[in-house]
Amino acid sequence: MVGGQILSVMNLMWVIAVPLLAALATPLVGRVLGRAIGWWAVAASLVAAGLLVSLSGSVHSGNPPVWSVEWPAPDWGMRLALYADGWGWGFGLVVAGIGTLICIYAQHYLSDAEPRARFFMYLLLFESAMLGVVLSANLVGLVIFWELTSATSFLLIGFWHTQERARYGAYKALLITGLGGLALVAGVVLIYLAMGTTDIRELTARAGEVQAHPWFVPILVLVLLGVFTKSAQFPFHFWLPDAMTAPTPVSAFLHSATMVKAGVFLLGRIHPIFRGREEWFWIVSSVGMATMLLGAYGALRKTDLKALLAYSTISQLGLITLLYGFGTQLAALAATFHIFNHAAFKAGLFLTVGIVDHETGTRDKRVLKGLAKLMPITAVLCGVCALASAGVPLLNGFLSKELFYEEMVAHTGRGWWWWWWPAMAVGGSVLTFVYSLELFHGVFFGKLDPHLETDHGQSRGHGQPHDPGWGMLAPVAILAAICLKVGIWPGGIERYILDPAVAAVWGQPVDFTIKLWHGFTAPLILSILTAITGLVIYWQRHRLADVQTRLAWPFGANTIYDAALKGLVNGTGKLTDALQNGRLRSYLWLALAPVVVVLTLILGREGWSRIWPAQFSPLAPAEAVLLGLLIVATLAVVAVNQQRLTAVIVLGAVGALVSVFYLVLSAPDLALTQLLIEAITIILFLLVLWQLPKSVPALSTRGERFRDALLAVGFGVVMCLVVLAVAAANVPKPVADFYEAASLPRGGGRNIVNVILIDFRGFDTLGEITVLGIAALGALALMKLRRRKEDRR
Amino acid sequence: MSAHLPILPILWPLATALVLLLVLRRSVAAQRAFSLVSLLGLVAIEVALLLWLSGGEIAVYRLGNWEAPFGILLMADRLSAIMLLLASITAVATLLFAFGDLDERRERMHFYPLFQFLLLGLNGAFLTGDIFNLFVWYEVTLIATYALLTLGSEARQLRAGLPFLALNLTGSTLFLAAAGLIYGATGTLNMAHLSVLTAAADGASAVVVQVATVLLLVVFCFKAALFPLYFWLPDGYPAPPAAISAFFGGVATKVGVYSMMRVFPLVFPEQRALVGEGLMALGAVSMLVGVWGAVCQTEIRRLLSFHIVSQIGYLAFALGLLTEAGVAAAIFYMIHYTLVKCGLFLVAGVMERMTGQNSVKKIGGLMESAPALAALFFVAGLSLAGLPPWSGFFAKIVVVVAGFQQERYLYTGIAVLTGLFTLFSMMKIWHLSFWGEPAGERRPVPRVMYGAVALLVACSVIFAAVFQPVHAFARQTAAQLLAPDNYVRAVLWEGR
Repeated sequence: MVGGQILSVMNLMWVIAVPLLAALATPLVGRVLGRAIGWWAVAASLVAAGLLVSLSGSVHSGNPPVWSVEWPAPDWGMRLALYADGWGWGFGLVVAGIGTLICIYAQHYLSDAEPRARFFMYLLLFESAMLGVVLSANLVGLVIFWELTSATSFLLIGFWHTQERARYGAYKALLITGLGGLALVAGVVLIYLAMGTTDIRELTARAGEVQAHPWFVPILVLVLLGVFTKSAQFPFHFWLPDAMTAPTPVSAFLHSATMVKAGVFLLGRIHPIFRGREEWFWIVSSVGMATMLLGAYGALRKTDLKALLAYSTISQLGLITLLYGFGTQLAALAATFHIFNHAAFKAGLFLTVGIVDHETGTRDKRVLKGLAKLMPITAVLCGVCALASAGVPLLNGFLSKELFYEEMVAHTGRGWWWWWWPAMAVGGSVLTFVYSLELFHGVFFGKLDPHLETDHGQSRGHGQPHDPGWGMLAPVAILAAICLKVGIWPGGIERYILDPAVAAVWGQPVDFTIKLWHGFTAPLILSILTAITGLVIYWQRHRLADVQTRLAWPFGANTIYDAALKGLVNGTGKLTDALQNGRLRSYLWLALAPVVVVLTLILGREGWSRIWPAQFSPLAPAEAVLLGLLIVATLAVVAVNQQRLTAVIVLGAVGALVSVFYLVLSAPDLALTQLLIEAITIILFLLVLWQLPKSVPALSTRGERFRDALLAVGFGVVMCLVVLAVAAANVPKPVADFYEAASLPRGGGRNIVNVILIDFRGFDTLGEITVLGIAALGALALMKLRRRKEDRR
Repeated sequence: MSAHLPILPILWPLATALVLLLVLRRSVAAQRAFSLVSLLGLVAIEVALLLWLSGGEIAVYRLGNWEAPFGILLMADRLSAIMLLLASITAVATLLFAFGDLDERRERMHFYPLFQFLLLGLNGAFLTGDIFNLFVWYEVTLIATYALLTLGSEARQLRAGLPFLALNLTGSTLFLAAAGLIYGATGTLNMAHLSVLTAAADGASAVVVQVATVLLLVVFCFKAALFPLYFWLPDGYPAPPAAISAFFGGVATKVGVYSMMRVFPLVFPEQRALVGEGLMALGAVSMLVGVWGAVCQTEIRRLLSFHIVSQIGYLAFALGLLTEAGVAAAIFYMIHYTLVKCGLFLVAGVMERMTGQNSVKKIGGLMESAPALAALFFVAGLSLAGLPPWSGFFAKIVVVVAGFQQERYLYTGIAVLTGLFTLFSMMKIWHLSFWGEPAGERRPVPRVMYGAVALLVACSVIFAAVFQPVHAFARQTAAQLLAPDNYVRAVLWEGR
């Protein structure tokens, strides 16, 4: 028993590790297998699915296996932990199962010119990440896998990266889901700080505490931002249609069982923690409702079948979101059931559209008509999936739609305005009914376009469009069979997958049965109403199209997105050009003006009186004269600075006057040093200036010069005040006293400055000498490399 | 021997530089070999130092054996050891890259000794325990940086050199003024001694201490390239060859951040509120202004240079929290980003070398012709943007945790949002240069250049794998830094 437990725990880890390792090995295995590399991916997905099946015993016994590793931060309670409760396990099974079908399909779908190994590597990486999301027991691990699905789906969507549209779509998907990912990260951090844990089971157990926390609303909003962006909920829905630039098997995978489903998966995950709060209901259900209607309406406007499917996915995700928002047991059941149903029929539909595209070279619904004659099997399979999507009895979609209606009607007792919800539900379902018919009836019936029969220029099949080989049909057939099986005998699946999944989403075991016939109830009447209205609208669909054209919105989320990106680049460009303008004056101004302001504030706050020295020594006449000369000389530098040579010479005079000051203050050695430096500097200056024009043109306006003068004077005054403060402080100087005392006995020198330079602080001197050496080296390089360049010319 | 360990990271590159300059001047091959061997030796020394100090000991090395606070002393703790090692690992990668990337002209014109001198300046700054001595090492760093920046005398290098030098010298002047004021207000320059004296300062000397704090904040922000003191960086860093700008981008600005970590908690224990608020505000603005500067660039290394400003903003914000969690976050972030940023600069170097172009718009389809490079960029780029499972994700998490902990919602929100802009700009490089129709030439790239990139990217991956121990170490480091008493005891009591 214990051994078995450990085995199943390891199996849990392998569910993710197998696709991951298979992906990493793909480039190498691809060299051996060549074209057949797809089967490698099929095998990996199948193994993952098999491992999950092997866990079913412990899942059903309500004792989910847990595997965790002490990473990344067990000290913080942040572990990469996996567990297979009903929700994650059931979802994982769907991911790995549909993943297997997709790999089989893709193996036959891809042309030989395409980099197959790379494709399957991305696909397996993505699958592994997705399995990680659904099996994570800790929000930190979930976020890590979550972001990985964003990154890997980016590579998948942009697989045909030489196409501009593919790049655009991939970039958009990454940015929007990346935005949500960041919000989710922030939300998880808040949860961690609020609760001290990110373990999902513990959070579920302490749901009341989470809901009572003052941070509840920010946490909710941040986490939901993650959900809504990922699941393409309004107003973040617009990335999904552009993601259709991916190869069709990828779209089928991403938009039926994975990626966008990660959002609603998380919704189900946090459902037991968050449900019941008013904010949860209003935000989640309203957004879901808006998305459902908008998606279904949008689907009808599309002529590209893949775009139609994209909008239909948005709409179905909206429906699921809406249901989770209600937070009741029935709603949780309906939503969870619909997630699985939708995965089956939507994957089937995508794959069918892929077949049609593959065979005819087009996905335009205006051109595609009457294909049933040429591809009868495809037509049947598409029919099953499309009617399931429409919610026709005997198919799985009907059952979950009934539950949906039941939940909507259940609340009408609260007041007449609650009829709003079933009304909108019917509205959305009618539109769904119509676009599903368009997919099936529109494409496969009617008069065959003769163009299609003869023109094979665009077709990637050979000759006339026909049913493809088994490799592309079989996956669709399996999905269609599931739709039928669940629709007619909904007995087995609820025991196996749905039971534990609903129990996990609700938080405790739920007692339910799903029946095909449950009497003449309100939901059934609504279903009939939906079908009749749908048929009428489908019959009159050209009128609908007219209405839609008239109502066409002048700008949508896409326009805003494009404008925002353009605005971002332009706006930041302008800002950056303004700041980084290449002008030293502006750089210095921006750097120093704030310093003057801050220092003035500090001095002002501290009170001027504190920094004013108590007494000044009297000013000797010689000092006064010197000071006057110094000021005059300094002003002269400013006055003559356009004459380079004169300015340098006057500057030298200033330096000389300073050295005289030192002399007066009885520091002859300093004076000597200063004089020496001044002399050398002037000589160097003169040598350089020799090569330059004698005078500088006036490069600045009066205003600029005034501003600069203001800054200079301000800085000078502030520094002057600070120096006065130093004088006022007049603190004891133990270090200086020590130098004075120790210079001769311990340093062996009478000149204290010298002893400081070569002994007490000789290390500084070493550094300064090195600076001079490096400067010489740099100057040498500057001159030599420059001259060499000229020689070459 | 171990008593002399703290000074070895200073003497070693100095001796190496002199040997390269005086003995091996004629042979480029010998210079290469000796530089590399010496650098590996330095790594070994620093590993030993790290092992020694990881227990929490503060090593004090008194130069000339003058008792504190009268002589200059070196002071090595966990942070110093981290910085030293970080600098030399980055140096190994850039040196390897330089073997493939640099033209012989530059190699002959003393690239290798100058590189060692730069390392000398950095190491000195990481080890000194004296505020004026820190200034000296700043000067060594500055002049070596300038020499390397202009090495080759291309027009662009010379143009970028002027603002670089002018602004950095302004910084130096302020530093000198601050050091003078500090001495005037307290009578000492020893950091540990200052810790006691600035806390006790009153009257006019308290005002001067505040002024000096602000001035030093400005100086370090200059060096670290924080808003509004960063203007020298985006023009300067892309100008020299990739190997040089990679080292600048990875390490050179960190000396400013290091100084903040070292100086503010220790030297000005009473000025925390002032420093913290200033750092957080400047950090927040830098995050945005830097990343906004990056998103509108098309030249890769210039784009990356703007990112430095933004990333330094993260560091400043986390550091400005001045909590243990905040400082630890800053340290972890710094480790992560030094490696990743240097790696990205090197990727850019390979791209330029391969295609002969430096603008993302003129390069295309690299994924087909250089899949390995694409993989390396993808990892490093996403890591910089803070996506898991690489080091950047964890670095971002610790910053956000520390920020929310102190209820700094606005600044933390900005930090989160900056991640999105970073992602935008990284993927801009990806989708223009790695995807799309092939554009630009395809020239052979020496393998050693790839190896250098791989080394750094591998480090980033490893740091994610060992997040917990590294972060725990960062946390201990932060705790040590925020308890100035330990330094005072080590320097003034035991160091006597």
